[in-house]
Amino acid sequence: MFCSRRQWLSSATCGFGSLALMDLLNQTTAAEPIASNRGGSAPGPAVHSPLAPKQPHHRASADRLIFLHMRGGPSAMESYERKPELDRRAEEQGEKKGRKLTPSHWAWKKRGDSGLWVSDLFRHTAELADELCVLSGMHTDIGNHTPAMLQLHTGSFTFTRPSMGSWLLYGLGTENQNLPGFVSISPPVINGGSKNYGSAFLPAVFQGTAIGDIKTPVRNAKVGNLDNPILSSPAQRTQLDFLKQLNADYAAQIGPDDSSDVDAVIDSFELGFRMQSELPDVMDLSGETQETLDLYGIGDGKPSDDFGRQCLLARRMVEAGVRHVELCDEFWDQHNQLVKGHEARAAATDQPIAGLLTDLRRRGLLDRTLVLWGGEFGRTPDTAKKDLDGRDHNPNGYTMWMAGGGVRGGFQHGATDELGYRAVEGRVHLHDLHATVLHLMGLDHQQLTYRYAGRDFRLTDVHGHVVSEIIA
Amino acid sequence: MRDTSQPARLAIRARINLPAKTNLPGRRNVPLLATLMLAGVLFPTVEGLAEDASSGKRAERRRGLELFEKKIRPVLIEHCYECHASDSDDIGGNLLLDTRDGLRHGGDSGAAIRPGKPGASLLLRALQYDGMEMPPDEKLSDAVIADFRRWISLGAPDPRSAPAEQAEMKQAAGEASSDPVTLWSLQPIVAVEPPVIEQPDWALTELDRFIYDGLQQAGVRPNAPADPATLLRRVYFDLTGLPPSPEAVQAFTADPSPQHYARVVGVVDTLLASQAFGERWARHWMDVARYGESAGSSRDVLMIYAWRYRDYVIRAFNTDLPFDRFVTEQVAGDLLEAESEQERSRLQVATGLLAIGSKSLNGGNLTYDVIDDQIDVVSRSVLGLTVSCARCHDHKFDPIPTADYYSLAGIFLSTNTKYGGGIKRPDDAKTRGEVYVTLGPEPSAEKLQERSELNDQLAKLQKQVRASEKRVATLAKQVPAALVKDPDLDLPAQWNQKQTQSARQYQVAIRNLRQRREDLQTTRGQLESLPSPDYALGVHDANKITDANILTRGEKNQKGDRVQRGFLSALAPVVDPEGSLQAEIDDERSGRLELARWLTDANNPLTSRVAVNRIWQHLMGQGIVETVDNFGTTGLPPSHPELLDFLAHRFTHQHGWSQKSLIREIVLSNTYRMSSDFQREAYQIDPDNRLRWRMDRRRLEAEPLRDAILSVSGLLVQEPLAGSLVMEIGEGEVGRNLNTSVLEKPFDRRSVYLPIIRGIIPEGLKLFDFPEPSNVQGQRDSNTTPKQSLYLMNSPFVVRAAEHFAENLLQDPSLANDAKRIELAFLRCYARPPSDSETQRTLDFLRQMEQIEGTTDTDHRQWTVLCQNLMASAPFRFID
Repeated sequence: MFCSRRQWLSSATCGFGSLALMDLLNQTTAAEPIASNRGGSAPGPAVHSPLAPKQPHHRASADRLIFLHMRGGPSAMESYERKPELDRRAEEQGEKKGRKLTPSHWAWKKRGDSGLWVSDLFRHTAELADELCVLSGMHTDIGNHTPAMLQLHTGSFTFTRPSMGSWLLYGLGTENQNLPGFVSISPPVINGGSKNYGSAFLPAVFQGTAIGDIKTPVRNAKVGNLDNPILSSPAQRTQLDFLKQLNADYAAQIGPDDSSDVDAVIDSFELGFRMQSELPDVMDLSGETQETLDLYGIGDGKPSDDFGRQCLLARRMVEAGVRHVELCDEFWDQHNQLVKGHEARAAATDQPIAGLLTDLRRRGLLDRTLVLWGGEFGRTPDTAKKDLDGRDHNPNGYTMWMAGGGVRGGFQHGATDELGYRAVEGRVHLHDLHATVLHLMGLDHQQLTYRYAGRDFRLTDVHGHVVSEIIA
Repeated sequence: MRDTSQPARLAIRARINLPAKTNLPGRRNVPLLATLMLAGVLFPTVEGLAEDASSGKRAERRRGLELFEKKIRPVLIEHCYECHASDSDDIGGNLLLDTRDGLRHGGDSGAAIRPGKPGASLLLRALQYDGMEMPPDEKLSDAVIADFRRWISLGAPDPRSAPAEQAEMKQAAGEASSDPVTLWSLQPIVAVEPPVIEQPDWALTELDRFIYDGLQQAGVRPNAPADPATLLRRVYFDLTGLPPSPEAVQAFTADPSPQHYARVVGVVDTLLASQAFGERWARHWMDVARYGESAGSSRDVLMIYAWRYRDYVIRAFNTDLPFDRFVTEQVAGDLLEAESEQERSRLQVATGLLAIGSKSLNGGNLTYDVIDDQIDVVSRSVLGLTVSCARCHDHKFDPIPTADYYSLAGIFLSTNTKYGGGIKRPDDAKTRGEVYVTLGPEPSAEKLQERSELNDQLAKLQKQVRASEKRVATLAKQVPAALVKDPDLDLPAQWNQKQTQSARQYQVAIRNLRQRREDLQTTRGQLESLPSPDYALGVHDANKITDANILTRGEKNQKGDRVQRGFLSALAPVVDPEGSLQAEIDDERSGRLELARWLTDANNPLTSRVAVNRIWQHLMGQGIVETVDNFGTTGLPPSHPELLDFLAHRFTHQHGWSQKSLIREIVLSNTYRMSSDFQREAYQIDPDNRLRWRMDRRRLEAEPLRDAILSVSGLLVQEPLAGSLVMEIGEGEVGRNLNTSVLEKPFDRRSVYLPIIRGIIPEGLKLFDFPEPSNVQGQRDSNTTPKQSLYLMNSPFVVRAAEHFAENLLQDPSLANDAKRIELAFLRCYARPPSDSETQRTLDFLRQMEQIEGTTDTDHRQWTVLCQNLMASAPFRFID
């Protein structure tokens, strides 16, 4: 049976509403599995917010997700999928006329105990090879940046659909109500822009919160409305106390049986007041040690300063109970000057990513934090460039990796053909990736539905298989 | 229970996989079901309600039913169904507890219950572990057993065999038959006589009789009318989206006698005639029309003329354009007769509905995606059906085969949609003419030629000016500073030849630059003086008219049979049974006009039902059908089907599709007038107020909240905005060298005029549940979040409004003292004066703030903070 969005939300947000519901159901269980808005979730009596933590469908192996989004499409054959055949046949004609096979531009080594091949492009991350679960059979439906980005984030590039982060919030809520549950740091303004962290038809409360944008160094990024332009903090406390009084008077006039909506307003101001101190605290890196800053490659003038800060922010956020953080680095789109371009991107991201993994691990967070790395697609084994220094878009076979959060470390799943044109083994479509991420987070992608426009929608639409091989 | 039904499946899974104490998702339906079944009006066939003559017995049965839903059914599901349900693997003792008959007829041991006789009921003995022990693993609590005893003594009323529940179950199962005969919304509308009620005085309008009757049957007492101030505030916000002025409040509340209600009529008529009415109600329609001013999706290209459609809608509401005509114009305005150029333009702009949707300009299957969007918006906004589900396969729940989808698709495939330039910027008259519809007389060929030449010249001159500027800058480095300072200087004789020579060159360059700048100016003027056509988004019939092929699974390369352009077959028995409209679609026409006629045919049961239901929702807080955009099988059934038909019939036959008349009728009803007060007895029976025993307490949506802030603070600029900020920004794509700084400037017009760039929704809207503008959404969410609080606490917009508000109060010479100022502030925000204790507390607060922050002659920060608090407070944000 189902109820409308309104009914569901009122039952999920109202103190009295849920109490009454509990009474009707004659049960006292606090949280219950969320199935869909039709089944509705009725969190326990103390819960006021649709963002309150919800019990997953099954035992989760990860509670938090960090997505390291490498916009533009990093090259697999330069990083995590070694292609000796490609090197051997360098300069031979590719699949199409006028295109030549391009050898890998970096040296390869077996790394760690697992002996995973990682090239020297990512020599810092390579140190953590035993944590990486490399998915080399990735494929997606389209090779243009924008639709591919939208598909990566929402599962669809033709229709406006909720982003993965919004689905996660809808399904799981978030642990710390004083912080946004889904944060996108430095998101691009183009390529779908805010659609990549939007909630579409899911209630707006599940949309992501952007911090800055890709054009703004994250150290200058501001979250709006956290500072009052005219009041000191004690004055604002006094202000809010009086506001509370106004609201409480109104609640009293309505009566305790019926005032849950107003109680929610009262709570929301208290939460807001706490958020405006807690969010800047989380974003303030000044308390971090020099050792930590160095670990992330943070420092004036360093190429890794900005992404290092993003990574450190991500750690601070998941540590503080943010459900999902996405970071972004661009622009990995080297149709030409691949060596120079990828070198620069690696200089910006490699050390920060290694730092993040190391830091999560030593703080005991990596076990329950899923880290996902990758772009909207990969790159071709061949090029039309005479100097062989370039690769084009390849949605048919590319690499992403996961770490932590219950995946097999030091493991490579899937492969492209011997040259790297298309995924042939262990193929993982983006829908499968989404299903797997949800699964690791404790959600069944087939059960996590939302009724809109007369039918139940899912992140994976009618597709998606959990890639069980990669689960530890 | 069918094992293919989803609740059953979920319940089974839950029974098998989850520990005993875990909730069963299937039970989630209980409150809703209880409500629906308790609403006698909804399912008059529910056992007992119709046949019981005495109201005492009826009440007893109702209590029994209520008890069943609250206490009995959940226990049966959780503890008994595993072995005693028709889908159990091995039915214990041949006893079925999942139907009424099973319970009564019993299994191997005989009848499980004897209604009214708990002592003789086997079921109860088994629960008490008396002779039999059920459930086997653990005895249920005494409280639960007591519930069963009470239920049996109440006659054990059990709704589970009623047809109503069957329908409910089917719906929940998402497997309802696709037999159009059974879908309630496709049945012809019957002119229903309002029921005769015991208290005829209660009904101020005929619609009240339906409501009263339903309440009475459920044994629920309606609330008394709201007090005058509350009613006035409600009417203002509902009709105009703005608060009443203190003067209006005082005038309306001055006379406390019950006759004050008579004055409501005057107020309502005034508000219905105001410009603000259209600005409020247009926005409701814009939600379902998924109004936006950019392509959204992958590449957020601005659609700089979309605002014309917005203005069209506002005007349609203000001129009370009959709804059938309103629909017709939006679907086929370009094909209608027009008596003047102006009228032709208006009709062309109306077709903007079909062009303003979100579209993926990069990737996908643009032609068919646009068609899908068009089918979706028309079918959901007008018919409340999700036809676009049938793009890839026959509709799973509703009687809409894929062939129907493609018969509609043919109509739009034969339609040319002009939504702007897409990725290419249309920057001259020629390209604009190609990507937009042109309004007004077509410019002559000569004028077009002239424009194009002038444009070329302009471009050439701009280039020359830039070159000249460069040359001047270069030469300026080689000449004495005195000359740069005064280029017209007579060259001093003592300068040597070289100096003089370069100085002359410099002077020539300067003269050239001046001349070219002048020419540029002239050309610009000439261009501007040319009569410029107006552009809009919209559609017209395509040059090539064609039927569409079914695309298997929606894939454009998988062409199936070609289907004739036409409409929904499920409605054929009711609307246009001879198919004459379809027959009229000839090879030279898209069929949009015929589609519009079919949609607005007096016999179309959906169009008027859906329309009146939307109006009802906006005035009452929830629709008679709660799923306002979905009248299909997966939608919810109406709470008052007869009332819905009554209103729909009245709308088309009495009011001539006039939305204003219907709104007026509803607002003047007693049902609308009731207070929103809580009533425990009523709440227990009908917590969701489906029966309408009170007015819903509603939260102001984003726009009226923002408008109210502007209004009470005195910032609001009431005049309609000509154009849109999007037009000021100009053609281009968000994030790609587009200067959007104009969006940062203060904007004090009503919210309906805010720019709706799909990727940059204004914060004040987005945070307050503004619907995703790419999707049809006739029902707003209503969330409360800390980010909203932060916006109200700290955003520059709210702080600026509060400062202005405070200044207004302090500079008003008619306000003698602080108490008077406080009174006015309360009146503005709450439509009521403060109580004495509120005044006192407010004065205390002002003093307290003064102590903390200090105050000066120019800075009355404490007042700003007070005003801000009033605007942030719940009584401001809610409508009682």
